[in-house]
This record gives sequence, structure tokens and C-alpha cells, in this order.
Amino acid sequence: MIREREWILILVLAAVAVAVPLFGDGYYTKFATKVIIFGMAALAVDILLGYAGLVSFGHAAFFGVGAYIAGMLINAGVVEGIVVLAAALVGAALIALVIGALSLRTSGLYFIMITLAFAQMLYYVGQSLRAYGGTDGFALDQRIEFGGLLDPNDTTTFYYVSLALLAVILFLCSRFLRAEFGVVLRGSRDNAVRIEAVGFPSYKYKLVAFAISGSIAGLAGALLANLNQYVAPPGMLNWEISGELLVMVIFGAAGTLLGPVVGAAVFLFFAEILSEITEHWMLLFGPLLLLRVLLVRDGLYALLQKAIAK
Amino acid sequence: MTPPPILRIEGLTKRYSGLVVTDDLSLEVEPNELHAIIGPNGAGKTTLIGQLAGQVMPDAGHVWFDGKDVAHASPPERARSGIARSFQITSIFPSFSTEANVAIAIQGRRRHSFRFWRPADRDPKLIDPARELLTSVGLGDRMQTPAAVLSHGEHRLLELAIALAQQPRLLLLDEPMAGLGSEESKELVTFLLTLKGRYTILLVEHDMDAVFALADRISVLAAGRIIATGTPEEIRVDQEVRTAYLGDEMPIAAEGER
Repeated sequence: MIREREWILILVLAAVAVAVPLFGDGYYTKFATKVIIFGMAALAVDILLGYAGLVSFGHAAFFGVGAYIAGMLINAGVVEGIVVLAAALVGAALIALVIGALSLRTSGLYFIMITLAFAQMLYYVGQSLRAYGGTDGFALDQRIEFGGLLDPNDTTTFYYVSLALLAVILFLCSRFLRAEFGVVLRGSRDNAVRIEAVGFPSYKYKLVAFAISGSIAGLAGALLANLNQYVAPPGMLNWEISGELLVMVIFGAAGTLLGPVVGAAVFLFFAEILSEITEHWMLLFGPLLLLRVLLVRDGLYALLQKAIAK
Repeated sequence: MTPPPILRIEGLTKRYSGLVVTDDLSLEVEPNELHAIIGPNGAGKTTLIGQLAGQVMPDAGHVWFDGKDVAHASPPERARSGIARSFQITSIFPSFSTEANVAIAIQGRRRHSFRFWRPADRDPKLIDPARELLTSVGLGDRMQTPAAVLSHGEHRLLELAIALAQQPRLLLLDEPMAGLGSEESKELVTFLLTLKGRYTILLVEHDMDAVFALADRISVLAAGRIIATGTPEEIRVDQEVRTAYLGDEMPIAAEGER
């Protein structure tokens, strides 16, 4: 799937990502960390949207579950990064298995609605957790640690930890999406009847993809909880998050791995700048999304791909 | 001594809100036989194929395949037990290359595809047989072409290649000649003749020249029932077939049948 020239693009993006903390102050590094985290969550959405043809409108659920698991563990004194992140990953995967098992029995518009419904349920569960601040949420006592080797309380260190995790996930995704599993996923996206007729019970494959996607979103949520050192239903479990992740994917380019990350960067950049001008920044962002859909056929990342192909 | 039939359909019935599309249908297909099904539009031919491959669930009756009743098995279960089909309306993976369309069907023969590491597009056990098969159907120079941009005739060949890639023990062909020009049809008949005797084939087709050139036996389907089964010669002279379905003339290719 990776053409020769694409390596240049990947290297450029990687170089920019690695260089971010060298420029400017902590503010930009923190912003870049947010981009990495949302890029990771958007990638999770794109595994379903771009490769399996499934529009999940409920990924806030997995994002939020990851954040809550991380926050709860840390405040309970479990601060070892590997343990906390693994717990968020597995917890989100299990929730995704349950939600996916039910949602994947439907398709199309029903699938969109049922994933949204499940995410809303979890939003209200989050709100009802009195011990964890209800609607207000709760602050984290500290960030995760890595055996005292790394100090994630340092903005730059936390950025590189997030970036490394994103790189690992991108690599693993590029493997499994090109392996036999990914072929079946893409096949089910292309032709739901034919994939079954050649011998694949596509439900099982989509369910595993849904769980993988949920676990990645959960990991991203755990990282965001650590970045903000705060967890609350709004901003993590609300349906707008699910929508924003979809917008990031569409902006960047669905069906590519780096597209969602580029989309997250562009989205958050505009959100930052436009919200300086007005709190109704979506009013200004809306037309941009419209332009993207009307003028750029496959998304910004595809545009970059074309630019280097020349 | 005739071998036991590989496919035995018994009392198969399918209704669509009161309309009986398959009416207590029974039929036997012998191993390595090329059995054609003909009948007027609306006779229920495609619905019958759907019930054999699993896309359509029958309301009653049995489909004995190799001694097992698969009437209510899912499409992937039936594909894995050795039933492959082609679709009347081309059904392929449009975003895949031609080669990948066949490779995925070969992959479907494996026990499962929960493999996450090795690139499937570099697996010689998938790619080599896919290329061989595409060459044999005449798509050898189109391997890397996205399937979406192939011509209609090429789509029909790809559809066939996908079904053959499944190494079926029962091959269901639903109007493989649909929409082909007369030259292309002839070529396809020539190719199908090379399959004869090696595969058990149930062929639904409107092109009577093709049917009479290919079939070992022909069954005539009308209003969801088999009204006659016999060799091409027997069917040609069968008075009941003539009055019930053929009229006085052999039908010519019609279109838009479902």
C-alpha cells in the first residue's frame, strides 16, 4: 500500500513531529501532544471508516473509557505507565467487543445510530459516577510513570512518549491492514455479499476490527487524561468527540493511515485559531469542511501524496 | 452404476409475500455433470441459485450437498463446504486489483484469515495461483488493473475466475453470458467446455446456443417448478416443454430477469 514516494512524505512528517519540541515553548509541545492523541483516536475511527466501511458515531465511548480507566487507576495509586495504558487498552477493547457485537448486527444508518446510542449511555454513566465528580469529573493526582526512567510530567518527555506510541500503532496497523485480516476487512467494505460468498463470515472480522479500533481509541483517551491531568464526561465522552473524530478522518483522508493524523492536526489548528476569533468557531470551520469535500476529492493527505508523486 | 448425486434438492419452497417463487422443487445433479436450467423470466432461476448458495433462505425443503443438508447454512459455510457461485449482476471487489480479486477467493479456502502480520499481497501461495487462473480465463494482461475499470466482458470473466478460485465441488453459474456480445459469448462457451467433466456445474443461462452446446442435461423451470429434465435432445423435442414454455420456437436471450 505504501508507494515508494510515500516514504518521503512519511519521513518529512516524522521529522516535523520529532522536531516540534525543539521549536518554541511548552505551549506548542502541549498542542502537538494533543494532535498526536487525537490523531491516534482518529486513526482508530479510520480503521472502521476507511478500511471496513463502517461509520462509527460512538468512538467517544472508547476514548472516554480509556480516559476513565487511566484516571481511576492513577488516583488509586497505580501509576506504572505500562500497566495503566494496557488496562485502558484492554478495558476499551472489551467495551468495544460488547458494543460491536450488538451494533454490527445492523448496518448503514442503523449502525451509526446504535453506536451513537451506546456512547450516549456511557456518557450518562460517566455523569452518574458521583465518586468521580459526576458531570464535573475529577483531577488526576499525577501522570503515569515509566519505572522512574522517564518523567512524563515533563511536557517534552510526555510528547515523545505519545509520539512513540502513535508510531508503534501506525506500524502495527500498516501490518495488519495489509495482511490477510486487512484484505478481508477491505473486501467486506467493497462488497458485503461477495465477501460472504467466497467463504468469510464477515461479522467476526468486523467485530475484531471494532475491538482493535476501540482499544486504540481507549489508549488515546488514557493519554489525553494524562496530558490534561483531568477526566470529565464533557470533552471525552460526549458525542461531539465522536463527530470531531469523523471530521478529522474525512479532512485528512479516509482509508489512509497518516491521513487521520494530518486531519487531526488541521482540525485542532483551525479550532485553536478560529476560537480566538469567536466562540462560534464552528461557524467558520463549517465552510472549510465544505470546501474540503467539494474541492479536494480524497482529503488533504491524498493531496500531499499527489504533490510528492510529481 | 450411476454415482450418487452430489446435489439433491428436495421439496424446496420459497414464497415472497404470498407469491410462490420456488414451488416444491426437486432436482438431482450428478458429479461432474453440467446441468443447465432454463426457463422464462420470473421462473425463479436466480432465486433457486440463491437458495443453493445461501443468499436466499428457503421456507421449506432440503438441499443435500454431498450428503449434508445445507438448506439453512450461511453463505460462508456453504462456500467452505465447496459451493461457489457467480452472480448474474457482476459482483466483485471494485477497489481491488484484478489479481487481488482472485487472491481473496483463494484466501477464502484457508481455515481462517485472522492473520495480522505477513502482507497478503506478497504471499506466493495466494498470488501465484491467482495469476495462473487469470491467465487461463484470458485476463493475464489485466492483473494489476483496478477491477472497477475493467470492461463488462472482462468483469464476467473475473466473476468466473473468482468462483473457480474457490476450487468448488459445485459451481453455480448465474447467466455468465449476460450482456456479452456474440463473439465474447462464443469464447466463454469455449472456455466453459474446458471445465466440462472437471467440475460439477449448475448453469442458468438464457443463451440457448450456449445451453445446448454445453449441457449434459437440461432442466426446464417454469413458475418455480421443474417441468422437464433430460438430455438436450430430449428437451428439444419434448412436447410438454414446447407448449408449456417454449411456445413453438426456442426462446432467445432475454434480459432483466431476476
